[in-house]
Amino acid sequence: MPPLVVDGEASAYRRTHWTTRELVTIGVFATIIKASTIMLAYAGGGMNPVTLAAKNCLYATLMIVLLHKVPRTWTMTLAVGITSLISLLLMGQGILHGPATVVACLLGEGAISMLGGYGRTRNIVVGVMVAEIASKAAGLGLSWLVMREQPGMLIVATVFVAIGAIGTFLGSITGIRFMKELRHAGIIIH
Amino acid sequence: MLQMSSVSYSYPHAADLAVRDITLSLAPGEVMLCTGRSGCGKSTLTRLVNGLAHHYLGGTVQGQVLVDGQDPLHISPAELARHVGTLFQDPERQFFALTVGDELALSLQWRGWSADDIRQSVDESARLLGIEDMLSHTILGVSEGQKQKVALASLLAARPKLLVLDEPTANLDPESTAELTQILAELKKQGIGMFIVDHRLHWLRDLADSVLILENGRIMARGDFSMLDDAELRVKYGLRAATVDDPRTTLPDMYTKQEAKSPDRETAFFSCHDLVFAYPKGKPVFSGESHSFNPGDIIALIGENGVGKTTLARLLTGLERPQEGSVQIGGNAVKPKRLSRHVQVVLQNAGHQLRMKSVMSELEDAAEGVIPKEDHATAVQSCMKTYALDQLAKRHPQSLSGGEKQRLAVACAAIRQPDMLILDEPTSGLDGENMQRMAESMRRVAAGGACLLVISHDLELIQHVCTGKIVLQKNTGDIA
Amino acid sequence: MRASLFTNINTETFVAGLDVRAKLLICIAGSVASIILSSPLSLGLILGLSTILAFGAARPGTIMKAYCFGLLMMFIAMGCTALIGLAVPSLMRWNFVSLTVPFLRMLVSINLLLMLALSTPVQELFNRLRMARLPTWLQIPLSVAIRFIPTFLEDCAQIRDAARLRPSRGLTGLWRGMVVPLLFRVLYSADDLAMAAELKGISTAGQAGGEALPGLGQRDFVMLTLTVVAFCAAIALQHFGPRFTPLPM
Repeated sequence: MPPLVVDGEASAYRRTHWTTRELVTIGVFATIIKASTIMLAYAGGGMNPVTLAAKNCLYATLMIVLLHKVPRTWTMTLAVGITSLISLLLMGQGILHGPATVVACLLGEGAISMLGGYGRTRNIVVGVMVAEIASKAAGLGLSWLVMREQPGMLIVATVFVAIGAIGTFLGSITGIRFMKELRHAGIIIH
Repeated sequence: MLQMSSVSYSYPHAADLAVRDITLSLAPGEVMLCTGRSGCGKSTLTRLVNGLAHHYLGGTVQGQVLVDGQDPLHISPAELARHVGTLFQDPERQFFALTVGDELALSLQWRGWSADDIRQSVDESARLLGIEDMLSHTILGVSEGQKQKVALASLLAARPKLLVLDEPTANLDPESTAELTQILAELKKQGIGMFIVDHRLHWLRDLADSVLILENGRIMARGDFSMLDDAELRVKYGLRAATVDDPRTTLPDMYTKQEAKSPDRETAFFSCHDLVFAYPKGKPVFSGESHSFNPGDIIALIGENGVGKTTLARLLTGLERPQEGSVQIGGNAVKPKRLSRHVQVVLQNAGHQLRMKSVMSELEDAAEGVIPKEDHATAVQSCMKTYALDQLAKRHPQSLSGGEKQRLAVACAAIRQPDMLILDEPTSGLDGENMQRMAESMRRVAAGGACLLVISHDLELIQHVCTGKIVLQKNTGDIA
Repeated sequence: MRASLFTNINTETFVAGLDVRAKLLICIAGSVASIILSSPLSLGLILGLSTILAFGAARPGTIMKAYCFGLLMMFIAMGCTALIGLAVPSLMRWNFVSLTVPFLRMLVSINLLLMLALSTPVQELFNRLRMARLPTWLQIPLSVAIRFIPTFLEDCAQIRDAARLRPSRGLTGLWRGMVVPLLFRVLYSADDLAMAAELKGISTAGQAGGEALPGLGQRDFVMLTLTVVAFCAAIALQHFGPRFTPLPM
């Protein structure tokens, strides 16, 4: 948020790490990320590769848009944490996977910081992909825990994770293109 | 209560001032109406009063604003909200809780009030607005008028001395508007000051003590309500009428019930026959309704909230399938899934229908599958010129103003050459000039051979453009 | 909006009477147990107890549908594994333990999911979150996220209707027809909600007040105690119970 300038002087209103506006935006995006991916999964069935890829594509796109709208450290972690909490509280899902994805986000945040921060689209895209890859790896680890008696099923899980990863990659492309459109529409200025 | 002294403001990244050299004052118990064309700076003034301009949006402020003796510069919007409450056009978009009672209590909880004080204040404001029986109701399931009451009650629970109302009647039917007028009159007697921004003027005749007309961010005229009776002044500043007769009583009914039962099926341009419909696990909405539409008709679909206006529109567009009955074109029954080729809808929120990257590509997309590819360019150019969109060809549709979006949505519907066009609240939030443009667009589509069905609470629009009415009754869903 | 996202909620069941915190703890315990346990007997015990909870929260019809869906997914996965097993035989183990244990874990997950999701009205959850006095950076987005669900679903429905009236082709058409308007709508909604939040005093400088979170009730403590006992019993069964040699099928 740009500072208020009154008669040449900046406003004395104190800012915290996230403003209310940014927290609300994170909350809204958490909803749309969770709800739209569930709707897609429901529409295509649990193992439809097309909807699986589309789900991951949409997820990546939304995350990229969010990180441009709220370009602050920990935004990705908070958003993923909120989506995990929604899953847990409303659907009882992700008791173990949720914390793992939050940890995966820390890797993504680290990648963004190392590349120079949230100021560039490239950094954000790399951060999202790193977080997603880490999250999928964590998911595979949990799948192994659940299916360790039948290791062949882990291969099936790996195939689906790979399809999801393709979707994430496509989502990074659509995310970048959509950001251009948002700038053209004047929704995002920077 | 409210004082502005030579206030000017510009938004961040904007070269021009949004408002310039504004000086006004509002005493306790005074009601001030601020009106003007879209983009004249009315909403900016409301944001200067409630502190959003200072802290939420950023920008550059010159001059001084005092709200109940407080300078918004030095206190947060949350603190300022103890002194001034803001009521928006669409209260649903600003609700935070899931039940009415929780919504009323929410802002008090965040201000650290005790549970007992919250309970007392909630009960008082609910009683004042007559919603004390609704406290446990789900907030999103209530009518538009009730939502407005809930929003107002949640503001009053914090006991502000000043209210800012931004187009509070945009989504209300005339009856709810009258109810709101009475409530505001009561609050006025209690000494609460009100700064009201609205395009619709008629309902404020007996309420407003003073009127400001803005243009290009400046106050161009100031006076009492009688100033708005000057037709030339209203045209000059793009305002709506100061008095509106209720056309719902004077418009001709399209048909009698007996005629509806036996329309001439051979020649009916567009008709629905013996429609029976009920939502799953719901009461019947329609139990055998029939009607005929002629080319060039512009029909107002009238009825209380919840009577089935939107349901009828959904049946005519094929979005819902009737349990019995049919929709016919030229005497031939058309399956619901094929109706979209013949019927188009302009939604209240036109943004839901706009999906391309530019105005031109939006029209090209709309023409797809209807107009031969080789004629696309000509048809699109002609449509843009007809609907005054040619200057906006390269603009992103989502960056357009409300009126421009509505116009584009009508153009996209018109280019598909529908037999019927249904418009759902097409002039909600539009100023006088844009309302006239919308009316003109509708007449143009009707002149092209389509029949139009308008669902609207805007009496002025209905008066201007409708040639007849259909009245839906509440209990049985019968068409009058 | 319905008081819950699920129409089947029955708020007068035994499970619905438990505090959401107790239910969450039971879910966590059950999930951890199902992961660490690998004996069909011990998992069977957890499954039995979780089934009782699920039936205490939802109608049998709903539970059966969820089971059928889960079983279908399981069979598809097993089928794919069997195909892989034709190429690499060591990857597919055809014995009682290897076939039943993953299946039992899946059923336990389904039971816990049903128990939590179908017995907790969203309104109760909302209130508990508010009373919990979470840090504002967590409270605000979490409350907004839950509150925004019905608005989002309504926007989806309107955009879907608009897309039906102007059909589009292919994946690109689907993207532009559904996703793009939705994204723009969400961005505008976020701004509207944020402005309203500021004006309602919901800010990072404040903290939601009102009633404080009540303590857990007697029923909750009983259930939690039973959960701990069941957890311990399952572990004991795993270590001291009969061993299952992987019997070939």
